[in-house]
Amino acid sequence: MARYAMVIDLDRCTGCRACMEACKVENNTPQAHFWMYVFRFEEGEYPNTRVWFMPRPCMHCDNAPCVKVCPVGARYKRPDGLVATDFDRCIGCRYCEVACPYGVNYFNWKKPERNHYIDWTDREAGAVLDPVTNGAVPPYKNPDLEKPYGPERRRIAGGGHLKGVIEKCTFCVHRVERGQQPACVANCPLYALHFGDLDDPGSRVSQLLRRRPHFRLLEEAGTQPRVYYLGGKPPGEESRQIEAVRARV
Amino acid sequence: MRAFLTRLMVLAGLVFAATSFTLGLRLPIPGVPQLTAAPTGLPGEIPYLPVFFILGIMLMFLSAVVYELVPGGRNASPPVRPRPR
Amino acid sequence: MVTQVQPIPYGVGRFSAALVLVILLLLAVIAGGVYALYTQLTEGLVVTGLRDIGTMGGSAWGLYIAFDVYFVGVSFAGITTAALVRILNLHHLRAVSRMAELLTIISLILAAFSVLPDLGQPLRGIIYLFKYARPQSPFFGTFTMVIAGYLFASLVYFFLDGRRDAALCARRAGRLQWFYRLWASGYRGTAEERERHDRASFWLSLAILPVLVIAHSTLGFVFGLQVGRPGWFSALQAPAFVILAGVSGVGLLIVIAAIVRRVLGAHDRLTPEVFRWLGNMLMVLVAAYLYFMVVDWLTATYAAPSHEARISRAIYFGRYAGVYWTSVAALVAAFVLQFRQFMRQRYELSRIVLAGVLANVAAVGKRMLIVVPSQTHGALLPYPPGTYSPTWVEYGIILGLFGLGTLMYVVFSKIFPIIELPEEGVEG
Repeated sequence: MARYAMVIDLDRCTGCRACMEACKVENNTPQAHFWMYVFRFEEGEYPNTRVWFMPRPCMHCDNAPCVKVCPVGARYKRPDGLVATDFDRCIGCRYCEVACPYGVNYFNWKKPERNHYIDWTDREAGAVLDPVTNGAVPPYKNPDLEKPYGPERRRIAGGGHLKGVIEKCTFCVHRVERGQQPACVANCPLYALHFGDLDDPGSRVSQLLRRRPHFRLLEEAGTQPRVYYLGGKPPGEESRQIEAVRARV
Repeated sequence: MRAFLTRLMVLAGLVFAATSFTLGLRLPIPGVPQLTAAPTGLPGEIPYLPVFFILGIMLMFLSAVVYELVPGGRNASPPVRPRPR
Repeated sequence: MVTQVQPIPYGVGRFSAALVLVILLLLAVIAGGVYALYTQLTEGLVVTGLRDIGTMGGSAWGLYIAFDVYFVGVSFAGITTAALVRILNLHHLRAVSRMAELLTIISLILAAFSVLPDLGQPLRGIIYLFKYARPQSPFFGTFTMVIAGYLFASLVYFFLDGRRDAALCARRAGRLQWFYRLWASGYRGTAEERERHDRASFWLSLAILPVLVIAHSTLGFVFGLQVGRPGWFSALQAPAFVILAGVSGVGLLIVIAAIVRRVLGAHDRLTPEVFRWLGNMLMVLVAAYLYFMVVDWLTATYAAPSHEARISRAIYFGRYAGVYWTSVAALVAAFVLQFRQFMRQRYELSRIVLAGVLANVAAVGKRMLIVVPSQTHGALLPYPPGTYSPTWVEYGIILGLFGLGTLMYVVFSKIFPIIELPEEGVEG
């Protein structure tokens, strides 16, 4: 059984946020949902400032608080390490969201046709887009996201399926099960993101972790995250975001 | 009759509640094969366990109603005639 | 069997114009709540002020959860009063015991109704909680113990305790005679039956007490076990929840008892003795809760980690300072009011009622302060602080719930005596 993890090289990340874009397109996440988010930090006072960037996917913790608190077992840990959300089971209580120390959960506050970037019930937009998208609704809809995955056959991929359920980064389970890399990893122009099997000593992630010092976020919380950071340091009191996030629905 | 029924309900309720709670925890005891419930997501997930838990507790409290309502038992008062000494 | 000419006391079956007006008003409030709920069910939870924690800068739990906790807290009153009457033989509290039990039952129903709008998928929630609820989740304890234990046990207690009065009411012909007969279930008032009832009630009250503690404690655990939320993660949450439950429950019971006394003119049953006792109980519970608040405050300000300090700053001096200091002032005022009466041994009903009101104002504020600041200001990663402002939908649903609870209370008091009938019964 594989033991998946992600390794993020902070020395390479330039904060371009291509990973955020790729994740959004691949997973059809709704407005203001950032399953992959990149912090842009500034430290120090001008002219002695340091600017650095930190991608933050879901940590897929081994001791995940979100899995522990889910009342109905919609949020669960797979044997390969991925923490998945079954959107057929989720009742939308948002307990996993308040329990997560990393703030990676996003709730579908709106109904799907208002939630995505285009209202596809709008006839005029449809007339323009249909020839291009061949009728796919929403226009960029990924057909893999409706299918069940894993030996447990649960529907855990993609976002914005229905209102009133929670979702988060899935490590692109629909791609990983086909042997591909998550969209963020595959699209990073600087090879700052890596994904692979920790149980395979020859995999990229295993090699990187052997060679370079690394840390994980909020280790003291005891969550045992599966996302490792190379280089750099964890954000502290002195790290402030360059601009406030204005992504609110 | 009444005492027996009351005790039975309390005991049955306790057993229901304790069993469904323990089964719901799905503790991975080494050597014990995990129960599988086919259509639901996870191995060992038994549907409607919470209902049995709730029923178990309700049963325990219902025994009080049985105790008060069910006639019979050694100290039941006869309806009209006093018992001859 | 001679049909009694005298009516059942305590306003049963009597409707005045004022009462009809009150009922219409309550129905209007409930209708507003239903409309708000409909809006939310069709549009989604976006119509509330709730938003995601983290990048969205919001609070995922708000008014609904705060009032769910408040209603579960208020339900403390009933079983405590019943337990005090049965286990400690405080017979002068018997006059309020039915009011208290009814308060428990209604507030637990309101608590369940308060959580349902918070769920993104309420219908799924009902079915799947019964089908798949996991004991590892603190929600399991709250959900099952509140419904199965607390609510059901209170209903059983209420049913058994009301049989005697139901039998008395069943002696007159009327539209509800079938109802009274059903409730009475063959009660004949023999000495042996009374003795059996005393024993059953004793054991029932004793058995409900651990259920009460478990229900309130698991509710505290919902918050207290979350390592990811500074401000919540504390061993103090569970016991503090139990004590604040007592404060709000006893406080509300005092208010209800005073209203019943005024409206029904039951000065002979709801004596100053009763209110003195309830007032003193409130005083002790408020003192205990103030102690918890002081401990909390000292711990937070002495050597708190930076994340908790940020929350404390927001609560004591920042965005939530208004709510916090109002709640503290209300609690301290409630305590001082009661303490002065206690020291002088001179009790005034209006002061005791005021203390009850203040205690509940503080309880509502405190519940909000438990739920919201740790989400808007308690991020462990450097997200900017968030905001939360409830919308008309949330206020509408909560007000609708209060209206529903009040309506249930009023309607019940019109079909069954809200105060235990005196020993001699209604025949005089």
